[in-house]
Amino acid sequence: MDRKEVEEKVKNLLIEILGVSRNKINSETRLVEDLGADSLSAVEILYAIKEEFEVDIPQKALARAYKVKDVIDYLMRHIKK
Amino acid sequence: MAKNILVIDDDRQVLISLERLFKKEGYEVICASSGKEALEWIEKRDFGLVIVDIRMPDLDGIETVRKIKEIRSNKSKPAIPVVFITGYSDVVAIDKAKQYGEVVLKPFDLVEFLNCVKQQSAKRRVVITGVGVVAPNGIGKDEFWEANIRGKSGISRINHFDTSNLQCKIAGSIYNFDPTKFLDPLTVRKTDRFVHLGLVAAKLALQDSELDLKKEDPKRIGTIVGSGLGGIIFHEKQIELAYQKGLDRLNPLAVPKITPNAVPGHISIEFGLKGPNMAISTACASGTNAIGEVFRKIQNNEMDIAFAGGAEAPLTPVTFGAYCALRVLSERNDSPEEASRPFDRERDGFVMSEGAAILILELLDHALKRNAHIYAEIVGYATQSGAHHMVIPLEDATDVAEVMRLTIEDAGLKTKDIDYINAHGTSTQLNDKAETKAIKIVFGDYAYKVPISSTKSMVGHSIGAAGAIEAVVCCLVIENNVIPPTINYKNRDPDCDLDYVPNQARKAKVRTVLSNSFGFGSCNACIVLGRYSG
Repeated sequence: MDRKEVEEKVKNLLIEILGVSRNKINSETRLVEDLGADSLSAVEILYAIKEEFEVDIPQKALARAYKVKDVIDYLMRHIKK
Repeated sequence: MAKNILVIDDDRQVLISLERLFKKEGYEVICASSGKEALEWIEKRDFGLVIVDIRMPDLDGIETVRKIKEIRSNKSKPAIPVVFITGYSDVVAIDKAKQYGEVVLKPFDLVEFLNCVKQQSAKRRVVITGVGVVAPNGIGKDEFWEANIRGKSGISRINHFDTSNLQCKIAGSIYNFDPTKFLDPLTVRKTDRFVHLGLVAAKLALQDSELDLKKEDPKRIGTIVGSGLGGIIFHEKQIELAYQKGLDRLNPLAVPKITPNAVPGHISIEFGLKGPNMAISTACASGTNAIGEVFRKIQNNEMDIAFAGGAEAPLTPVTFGAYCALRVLSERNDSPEEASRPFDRERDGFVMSEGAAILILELLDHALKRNAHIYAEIVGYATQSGAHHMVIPLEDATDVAEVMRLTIEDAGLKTKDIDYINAHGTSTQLNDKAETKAIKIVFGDYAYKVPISSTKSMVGHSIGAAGAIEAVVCCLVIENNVIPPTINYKNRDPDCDLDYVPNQARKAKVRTVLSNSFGFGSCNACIVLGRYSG
């Protein structure tokens, strides 16, 4: 899976979970400040990522992921080839 | 009726005799021998009525009442009705007192005084000022009412899951309901179908009531909504997922989507209501119990306005299959619209439905002040247990007879005052027979004269929403003076020989309506609605 594909999928799940429009999201967008993610939606994002990429992001790691690009970076490192 | 009174008088003799008088009448009495002492009580607790002497040293009666009003208003609580007593004919003081309440001159006749007090403390009347309904035979009150008076059934073949292994293949599904037309997509995604139905019904009811929530005190508005099963559709899917793929695959939204109080929870969040917020689960009686409990809470001064009703979305394979296993559902699969036939000899079980109804219940004074449209007044409610069996009605029907009798008594009416009965009428052999028997026990000869219909013949049985949907029917019966029929009534049953308004709607002057709901678990509840005429 290349980076572009991962980015597209992450964007889609953020749109669905947070109910935000596509043009509000780019790789520099901050999850909490810009997209209004709360603690339940954070858990939902973890769940959706696990379903989509079979990658378990520990809650601690997500807490350090401020921006969309941090999530994508993490996934690029952990997605099974 | 709030039965606790604060009596304020500096004359010890008066306090003693009033305390004795009201205690005998079943009131709880708190005595205060000065205005100051009274204010301390007012800070601590609620009262249904204040009786106060005008002439007292230090704080006089009028000043005390003025301060009571101030304290209440600072706490966002409504004013307490007041009766002043005075032995002096000080015209100026009496005129001033009349701005705050009734004035009774000493020496007074005890009986007259008691009546005056009863009238004052019974002032919290409750009316219905908005209705919202989503039912298999109509979405919104106009479409729904039209269907009811035309005798239009909402029952059809189930086509959203496989019923090939089930004896029953029909239900009241609302296939034309699109929640995204009414709710934002995020809310739709985060909630199960019973919440979609309930929230939409709440929105329709609020719109219908023309209440401007921005002008209201949110702490005085609450919501109580019934549901027998909760978010059972999502629940089933999650259990399947967990068993097939592992417990670690459960969705984080499972808990907030499944919980049975999700409907009142979402209503209170959506509209910012800070009063009582709870769910009631008494199976098929849930909707009626929710309305009845709100009625009591408004009467008892716990709130002034509420969203009350029921919501249910039970049409999902395992739950539906479980009702099939219980053998309570109609198996008339080849003619779905004729399957629900309450009181007909050939009835063979109920037809399960989904749906929701929310009603706006409001303190009469509040409704009058804002010039609201009043559908009906809630005048009576009672709920009791048959303490008999989880699913089988008591054969002699004395339990449901008792709850009907108590409700009519609570309304202060006689059986002959009831102009129409909206029956529980499920279309099972046992219910319809027992309910008919109970109506005969309560109404005697008049049982053969009072029109009775079961709108479940058209709507099906939506479990926790049924009582609320039927309360909407009752409001519209009173409003339009038309009684909807029991459709599919073709064969007379010797055990069910009353006037069930068969097949055709009927014009009739309807002032008062009794609505029956009897739930699995031996839960029985009835309400009486009356035309509001001042």
